[in-house]
Amino acid sequence: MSLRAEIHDAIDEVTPPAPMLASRVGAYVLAEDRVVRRPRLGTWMRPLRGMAGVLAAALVVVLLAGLVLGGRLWRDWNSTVTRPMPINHTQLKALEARPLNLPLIDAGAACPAGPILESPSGSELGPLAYGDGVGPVYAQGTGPRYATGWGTYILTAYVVRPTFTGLILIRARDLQTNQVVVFAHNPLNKNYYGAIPNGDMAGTDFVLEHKVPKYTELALQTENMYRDLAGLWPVAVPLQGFSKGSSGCIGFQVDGTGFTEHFVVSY
Amino acid sequence: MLRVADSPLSSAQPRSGQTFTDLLAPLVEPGYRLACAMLHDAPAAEDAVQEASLIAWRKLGRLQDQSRLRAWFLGIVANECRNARRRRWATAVSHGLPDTLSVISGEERVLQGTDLRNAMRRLPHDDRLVVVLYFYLDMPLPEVAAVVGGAVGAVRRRLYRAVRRMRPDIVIEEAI
Repeated sequence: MSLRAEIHDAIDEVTPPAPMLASRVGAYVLAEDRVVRRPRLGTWMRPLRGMAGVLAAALVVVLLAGLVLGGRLWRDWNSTVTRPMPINHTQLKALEARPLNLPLIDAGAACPAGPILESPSGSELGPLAYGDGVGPVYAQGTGPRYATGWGTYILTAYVVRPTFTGLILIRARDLQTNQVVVFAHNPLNKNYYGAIPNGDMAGTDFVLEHKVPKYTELALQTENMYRDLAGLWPVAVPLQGFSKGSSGCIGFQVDGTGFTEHFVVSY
Repeated sequence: MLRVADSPLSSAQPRSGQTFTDLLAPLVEPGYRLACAMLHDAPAAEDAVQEASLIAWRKLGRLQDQSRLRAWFLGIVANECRNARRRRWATAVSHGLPDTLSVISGEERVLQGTDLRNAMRRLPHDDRLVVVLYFYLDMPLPEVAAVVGGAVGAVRRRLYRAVRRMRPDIVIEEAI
């Protein structure tokens, strides 16, 4: 056997097939690529670069003065930046009023993970090959993980069955420690696209070198969510955070008009 | 099949799902194979390809020579693999994640296989990269050189050296 054939065999053993990877990567890339790009300076503008510093300093002074004098305006603006998407608060309150029905289990007990819907052909779950949940909302917490002094964040994909439209509320707890799972925006994605961390603010953290506020709930607005490559399945990719000491056995309750869904994920 | 030379790569191109499907989607699979070969850890490889795809997507307009798309993309994947190995080590050391949440290194788990995989694991990143590109992705030396950013002669010497390290007793000319 040639060295080339040996290497093929050796590496193939650790390379499982990933038939849906291109589709999942495509959905991720298109969802993440929403950062507003600063336009490049044209050649004719380059001589003006020297003045840019002075102009920037003057702008900073004006902004600071505006902030000092317009405290109320600043607060309004700040709240707008934090949650720019309009949300139906009446509907959200109704969903929040539903009791959280997540059982606690003994420390060290087996995590009752599931259910999981497998879709090897990709037809059942749109951009996902499998998803946690029974629908109409499915999650896949296999994205990059980021560790901080507080805990660990996982970039998690949520997809919603195209037949469902409306507001969705997601809450999660550690089933062994009862710690609240927090939600936050991916700080590299400046546009929210229908996935809105909500509920109580649970402090802030530094993730990917950005300060991010953490919230105890996640609201999904299907009308504003990004769609998968086929343009059908609403997709969102927020951060989920688990504090240090979490057991990793996480129960999710998903509420929407006409349904309540539970699933457990062992991270 | 898409001919890369015909693909519009100007910065003014529309950033649509179709653009991704035409340009980058065909490269995800070879990127994944490269990442698996470099990391020996399928979930980590998927992460590396995902991040590399996002980087490539954002920088697509800067690529001048369209015929270099595959080599350029695989170069980004290789760089993400290098970063993934660094991040994994740094995370395990500095943050002390709880066991159930830590990024379990599949590399240590999986790489207890054949002598050949162990030998490849011991190679430095750049040596392993040329071995994988040449022997596993079956790329010609000029394209391997384009991925790693070196001259063909230098890549050939690196390949000889890497093979010699993996298999000190092998006849190099037969291997290459």
